[in-house]
This record gives sequence, C-alpha cells and structure tokens, in this order.
Amino acid sequence: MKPQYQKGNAIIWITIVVILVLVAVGLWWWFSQPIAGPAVTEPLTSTDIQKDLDATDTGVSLGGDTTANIQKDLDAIDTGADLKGDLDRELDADINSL
Amino acid sequence: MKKSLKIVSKILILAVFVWVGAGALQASSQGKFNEETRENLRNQLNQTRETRKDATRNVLDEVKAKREELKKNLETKREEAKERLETVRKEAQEKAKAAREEFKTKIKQVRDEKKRLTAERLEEQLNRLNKRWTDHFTNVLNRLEDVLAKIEIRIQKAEANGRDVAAVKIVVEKARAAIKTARDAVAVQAAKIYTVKFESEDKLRTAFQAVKEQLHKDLTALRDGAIKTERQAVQNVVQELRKIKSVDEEPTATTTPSSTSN
Repeated sequence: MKPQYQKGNAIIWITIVVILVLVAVGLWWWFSQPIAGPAVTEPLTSTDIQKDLDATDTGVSLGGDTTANIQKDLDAIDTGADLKGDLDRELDADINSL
Repeated sequence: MKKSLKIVSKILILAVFVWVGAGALQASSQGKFNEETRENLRNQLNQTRETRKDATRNVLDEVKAKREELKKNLETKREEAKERLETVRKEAQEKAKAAREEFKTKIKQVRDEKKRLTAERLEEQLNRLNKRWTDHFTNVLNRLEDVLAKIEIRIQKAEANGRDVAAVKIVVEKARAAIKTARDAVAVQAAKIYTVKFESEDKLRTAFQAVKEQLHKDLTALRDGAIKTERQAVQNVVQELRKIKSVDEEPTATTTPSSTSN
C-alpha cells in the first residue's frame, strides 16, 4: 500500500506543478498583451480643420479675397476709357452751335 | 491508485474552473481597462482638437482685426481726400474769380442771346466735367485701395500659413506710394478752373474748342499717367501675390503669423 500511496502523491504534486506552470504562463501571456486603444476614426486632417473653420462664426468672408476674386475686382475698375466720348457728347453740340 | 486518479481528476476539474474563472475575470478587467484608456485618449484627442480650434480662431481674429483696421484707415483716407478736393476746388474758384468775372462781363457783350446762353452754359459745363472726372478718378483710387486692402488680408493669411511674403509686401508699399502720388495729381487737376478768353463773338467757338481740348489733354494725362501707374502697381502686387505657393489657402492652426504688416 505504501508504494501506491507514494505514487499517488507524486501524481498529485506533478499535477499541481503543471497547473501552476499553466497559470504562470497564462498570467505572463495576459500581461504581455499590448493595450488596445480606441480606434481613431476622425483624424485631424486639414480638411477637418477647414470644416471647423467654416463653421466658426467669425464674420470673416473666406472666399472674397482669393487672387482670382482680387483680379476680378481689379478688372472691374474702369479708369475712364470713355473720357473722350464723354467730353464730346457733353460739349461738342453746344460748341458747334456757337 | 483509483483514489489518486479521483483526486487528480477533481484537481483537474477545479483547475478548469479556475482557468475559466480567471479568463472571465481577465476579460472583464481588460474591458474596463480598455474603456478607461479609450476615455483618456478620447479626452486627449478632444483637448488637441480644441487647442487647434483655438489657434485657428486666433488667426481668424487677427485677420478680422486687420480687416477692421484697414477699413477704418480707408474711411479716414477717403474722408481726407474728399475734404482736400473740396478745399482745393474752393481755393481755385477764389483764385479764378477775377478771370470768370472777366468772362461774364465779356459774354454779356455778345449780341446773340442764344449764343450767349450757350457760352455761359458751356463755361459751367467745362468745370462741371472737370469735377465729374476728378471725382471719378478719386473713386478709382478708392477702389484700388479696396483691392489693395483685400490683398493685404490675403498676405496676412499667407503669412499665417507660414509663407514668405517679404517680396509682396515691398510691392504693396510701392503701390501705396503710387496711390499717394495719384491722389496728389488728382488734387492738382481738381484745382484747375477752365475759363475761356475770346477776342470777339465770331471767335467764341474756337476759344471753347481750345479749352475743351485742354481739358481733354489734362484729364487724359491724369488717366494715362498717375491713375494708370497706380493701377499697374496694384496689378504688379497681384502678380507677386500669385507667385506665393498655395496663396489662396485659408489659414490653418499649424502655424501662426510672426508679425502683421502695416
């Protein structure tokens, strides 16, 4: 009986050791896992910032001072192309009647 | 042996329960941990976003302040230019009073009433036309200053985006100087009073024709001189502005202007 009891004891201890090893491996695996952060679904691209910018009520026109608009403004200025025509229309008839 | 096996199987079952329990505990605590981490990162992200928004607002506030400053300056300059023109016109009329009185006296001697009335009207019309055109040139300069103000806003935005605006600022200064010169030239023209001198009734037409030619010559010289030069100066600024890479991009929070142009 004695040798059997000893054999049974050994199996118990081996089992306990195996379980402890497995638990140790499990704990090691658990703590070695990288921490998963939240998925960044809204990256701060310049487009997003521009959207924020557009939504901000600043009273500043965002489209009026582009180079194309400035050029249009400049082209729209009439420096006086019809100067001669204007003077002729306003004066010639009266001058010729003198 | 059987007893040992029973004990081992019990231990194994217990181990499986422990294992499953530990797994469940791990999953639960990891979930909590991840939730906390996610919350922290979300807060950090919101903070970064707010900081960027604030920086963007600051850039826009600076642009708005510049716009207000330019608007005030333009209004002041316009008012000054208007008052200056009115003053020089009054002074010129005072100076030309004698010559106009002389014309009025002489025109009364014209026998043909129709011709006399036409001549009186023409003399007034010549000066009215000079006023109309000098006012027009003043308006042209005002508009060019408006365009220049827009350009300065664009320069400030480009500067806020980290672009090199040194070259364009130099051309802006040249354009500003050209506007001043042009305003002076307009004031000189506005101060002119056109009076007609004639020997006899039959030379009235030639006399008026000559004065009309003189008015046309003076106004053309102003238009093709100082006004055209100023317009070209503003056009040069636009061309210089276009050389700046991505100049039409609105300011972002990535950079802030180091200084503002005046």
